[in-house]
Amino acid sequence: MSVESVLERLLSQDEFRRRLTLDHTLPARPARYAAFPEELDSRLAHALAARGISQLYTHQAEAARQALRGEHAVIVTPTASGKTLCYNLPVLHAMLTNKEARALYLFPTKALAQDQLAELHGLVGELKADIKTYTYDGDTPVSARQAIRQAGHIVVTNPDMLHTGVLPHHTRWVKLFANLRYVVIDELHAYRGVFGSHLANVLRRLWRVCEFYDSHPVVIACSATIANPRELAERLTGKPIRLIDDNGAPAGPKRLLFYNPPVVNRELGIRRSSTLEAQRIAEAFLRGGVQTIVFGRTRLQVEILLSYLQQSLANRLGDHQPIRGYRGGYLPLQRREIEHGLRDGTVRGVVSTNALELGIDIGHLDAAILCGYPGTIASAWQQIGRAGRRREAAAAVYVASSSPLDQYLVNHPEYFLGRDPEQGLIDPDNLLILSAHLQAATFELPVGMRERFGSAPVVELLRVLEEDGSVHQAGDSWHWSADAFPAEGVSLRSAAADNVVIVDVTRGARVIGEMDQFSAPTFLHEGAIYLHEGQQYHVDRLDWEEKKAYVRPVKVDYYTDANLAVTIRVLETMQSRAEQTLPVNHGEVRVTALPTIFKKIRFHTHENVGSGPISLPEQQLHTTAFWMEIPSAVARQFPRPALQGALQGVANVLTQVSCLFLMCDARDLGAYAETRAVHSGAPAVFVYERYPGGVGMSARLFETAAAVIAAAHQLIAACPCEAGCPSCVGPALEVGEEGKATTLKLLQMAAFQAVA
Amino acid sequence: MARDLAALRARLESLGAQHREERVRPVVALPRLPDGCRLEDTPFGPLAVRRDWFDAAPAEPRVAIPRCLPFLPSELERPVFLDTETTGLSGGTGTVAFLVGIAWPDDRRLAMAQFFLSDLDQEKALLWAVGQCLSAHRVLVTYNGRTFDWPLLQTRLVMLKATEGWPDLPHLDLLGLVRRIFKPRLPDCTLRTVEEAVLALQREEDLPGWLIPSSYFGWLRGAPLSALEAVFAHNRQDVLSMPLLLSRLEAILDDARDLDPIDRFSRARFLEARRLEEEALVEYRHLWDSGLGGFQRGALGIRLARLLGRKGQWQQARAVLEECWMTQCYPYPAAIELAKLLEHRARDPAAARRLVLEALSLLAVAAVPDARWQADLERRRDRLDRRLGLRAELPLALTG
Repeated sequence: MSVESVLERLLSQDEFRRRLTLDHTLPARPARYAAFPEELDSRLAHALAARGISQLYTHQAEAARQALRGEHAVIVTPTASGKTLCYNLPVLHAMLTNKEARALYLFPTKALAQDQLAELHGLVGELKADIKTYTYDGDTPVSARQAIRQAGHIVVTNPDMLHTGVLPHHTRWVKLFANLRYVVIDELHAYRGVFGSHLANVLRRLWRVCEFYDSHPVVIACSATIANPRELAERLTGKPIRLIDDNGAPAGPKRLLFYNPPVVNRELGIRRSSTLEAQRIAEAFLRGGVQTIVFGRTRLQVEILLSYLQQSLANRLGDHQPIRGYRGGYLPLQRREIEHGLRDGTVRGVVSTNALELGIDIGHLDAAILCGYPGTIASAWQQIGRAGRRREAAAAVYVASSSPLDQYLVNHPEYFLGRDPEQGLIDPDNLLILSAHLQAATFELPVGMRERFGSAPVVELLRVLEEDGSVHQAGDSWHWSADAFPAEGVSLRSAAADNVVIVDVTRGARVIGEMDQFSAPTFLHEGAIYLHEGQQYHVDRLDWEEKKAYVRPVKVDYYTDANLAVTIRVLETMQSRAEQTLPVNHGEVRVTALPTIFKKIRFHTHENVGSGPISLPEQQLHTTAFWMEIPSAVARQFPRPALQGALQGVANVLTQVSCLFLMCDARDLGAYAETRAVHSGAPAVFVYERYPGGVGMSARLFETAAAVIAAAHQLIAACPCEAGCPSCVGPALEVGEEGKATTLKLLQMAAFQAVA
Repeated sequence: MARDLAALRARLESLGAQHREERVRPVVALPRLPDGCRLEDTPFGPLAVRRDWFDAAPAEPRVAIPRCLPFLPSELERPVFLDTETTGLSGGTGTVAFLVGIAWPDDRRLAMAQFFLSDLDQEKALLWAVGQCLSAHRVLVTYNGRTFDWPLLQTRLVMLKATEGWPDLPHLDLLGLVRRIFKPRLPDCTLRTVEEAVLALQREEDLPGWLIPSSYFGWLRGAPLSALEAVFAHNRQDVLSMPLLLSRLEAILDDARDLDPIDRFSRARFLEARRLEEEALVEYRHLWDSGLGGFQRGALGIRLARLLGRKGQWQQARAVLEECWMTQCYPYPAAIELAKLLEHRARDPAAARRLVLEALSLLAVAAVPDARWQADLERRRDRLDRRLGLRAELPLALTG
């Protein structure tokens, strides 16, 4: 059956058609070609021809041209449009013309690095040239490392390895650094938030080392579609970047559908499970013989979907495993097997978590089902992009879950279609992150008196480090002076040291995750139900001294919620303005949080089914925040308890909506409402960043405050629940029986009406 | 400036940066050098050096070591001994050699120079002086220098862009030899252990290694000299032990008579590995006849038998293996070797088969089963069965 016929079948069902909020066709795009740049070694053209490529797409040719000219560039490409050729061509050209040339490839995950190698080997084999490519990461056997350092032309690695394994030992890599011609950064959009802020600093160290060996590599970066690829690339690399986004790859027409599962309990606002709905829709395609990919939000959801689909299709499609799961954690051999199966048609369906975990060679399928919003518009487009071959029609169906964000999006498809995808935000000058890397930089090469490191006050920072005993000034530079290895103590994925480590005691004490110290008492206190990758865990014990939380998987019908005694103190207001009549601000705050007790709340009914004390020390967090104040003229019109509830409602919905505008997770932010804020005496709602020092999210919220508040208003207004639910302002229990109405009124009055 | 710094510190503090408990005192301007240090000139500025001379026994010609290892006797006549003290053990570009101790025979004495980094920006001077010193000699001798001191110095040379003109000497790392001869018997091969066990040297009040980096940094920041003096003394002792160790190893390789039997066996294995098979054979024979016991006897028997076999002395080999077997010394490998011998040399496959069956039945009741020998013996038995024509009948007999 073709995709169109399956769609026709589905659309003929009333039930299905009525739940659609979007039925949009993305038009086909023809391929646009450009000539091979003349400067490119002719052997490359021949090698490509032998692999069936006789022309380049416009963006590939442009990328090669810029790179050969020595210009740093970022290429923005939707999924699988031949982006690897954008960097492989100039790199291989350099090596064909100069045997000493070297290149460094950076990938966020090992799995992607492995895929890359397979691709390179193919091309190099075709060229019959002596170009050696290797991965260099934690799994590389020690015996091979020496050879790679000496002889590897292309070294494929990841940020963590560059950070602890390469840069602090750069004298062993003289060959690489002295001859480094290109640095390739793929999946640039993955480097945002804390991780991106760290990488920007790792790159600063990399450029320092290159300068020491007198090499000036050209950066070639590839990014998915985000709103600010050039800005992100420039902030990450500190270099001027050209933008190449003239994508010449072809695409067939694509039908995009948004599906919202029906409400099954009006009072509580519960909808039919998106997992089951996604499964039904996927089955329709698979039964029709359409090769389909299904994206789940969490590993657990993927496993559930996979087993449902495998079971229900077992009879129909035979038992030779036509539906496979696909994860980054799989071994390269398994991944190759599945990719191969997809290409030759034996694998009919794939269930996966997010697009980033997919290798480049998975190619295209005919239909993509998104079970739940993947968290950012950019990744949603990436997932949708997995459906669609060159000429035939394809389909993508987004099935909304009941989370507030999902509900907002599915009810405002114009937002999704019309809006630029999110911005990738980083703060490379976050003082905590920067100073950690400044230490590592000192270890790598003494820091000169007049040297610059980002926009930091280098000399002052070094003096602080000197007082600590880590560095020592001798002559006109600062030298590392401690018996320690600074890079080791810095994790690129967290902003603070001393995270609480989460240990699953049932799997032989396996570490399943980490949490920052500030948030831990709220989410990992003893008795808490902690959600990880879709699986519930009960926190049996929290060893605060050792910073370890011992958890055990459970299946319960309640969640826990900690009561926090919070105070927020504004340390410095950096920006301020009145949005219509609503003052909005952005600045540094100190958040103090003391969890007191926790409640157990049953799902759906939201009854209180238990509680317990929390005895943990008070936590302090110095960070940046966005806040809005309610003018007293407006606040006066609400009785005190109603005001309290409404402010809480605003806080809840703001957190959700903020995630729409920033590429972040709800867990990256905290929200807090006060009827009498300390610094102004007026009611205020704060949204603060959970990373010490912040990574630029509150600044962005401040800039887009009008849109954020408008979106918050829309979300509440459009929610079908009666008095409040977790999908909008929060359960009635929290915001009061009239909570939803009050919140709406408050927002309307404060934001949209002039005050009498 | 101070006020801004306080603000910065306050900011960093509140951000949650971790700090050491004690605040370190600010740097003191004047260098206060350890006893005996003088400033010497180099093209890169003055360098603190302490020089000493020690009485030494006259160096004897080295003949045993050159026989076993690729060094010329003439090279070993002009050795230079080197040991470094560093600011960390984890390596990497931020680890610095702040004290390099070098000694060499000078007439009838041992001269020593300790080159010291009185501040972190003086490495060029230090590396130049060390390079100069090394170039005057023919072979470099260290203890664990191959994996530690030398790579560290190479890293420093790259960091200072001073690789030009650095001498390229043959390198004798004594740790290698020490491991070959003493590792089976000693708890470890650290210099301290070896000093006590091999040189009968006891150090008094030696500074523990892990305190060395902080002693240096402390001094850099104004702490009193005493800790640094201890580092110098430790370094001198490290260097001084090496010529003694070299002489002792030369003596041991030359003549094994006074060695502990376990060490003597290790030495013999080393000689065999270096293709000095005649000598190894004599040693194995001696150890065997003089009754080297314990868990090593079996291994000794096998090696002796194999070496005898390679020399064509099959009868002797057989006698040794039979003794191993009879006395249950490493019986299974012995049985396997003996079976091979019986089958191919004595041309008595029946006897070989009997032996293999005996070994298998012994293995079957062994307290600790051993899969390695099991597989080999079974294969051997099956092959011998086929060779003796016994195989074909088996299936019928079993089904009867």
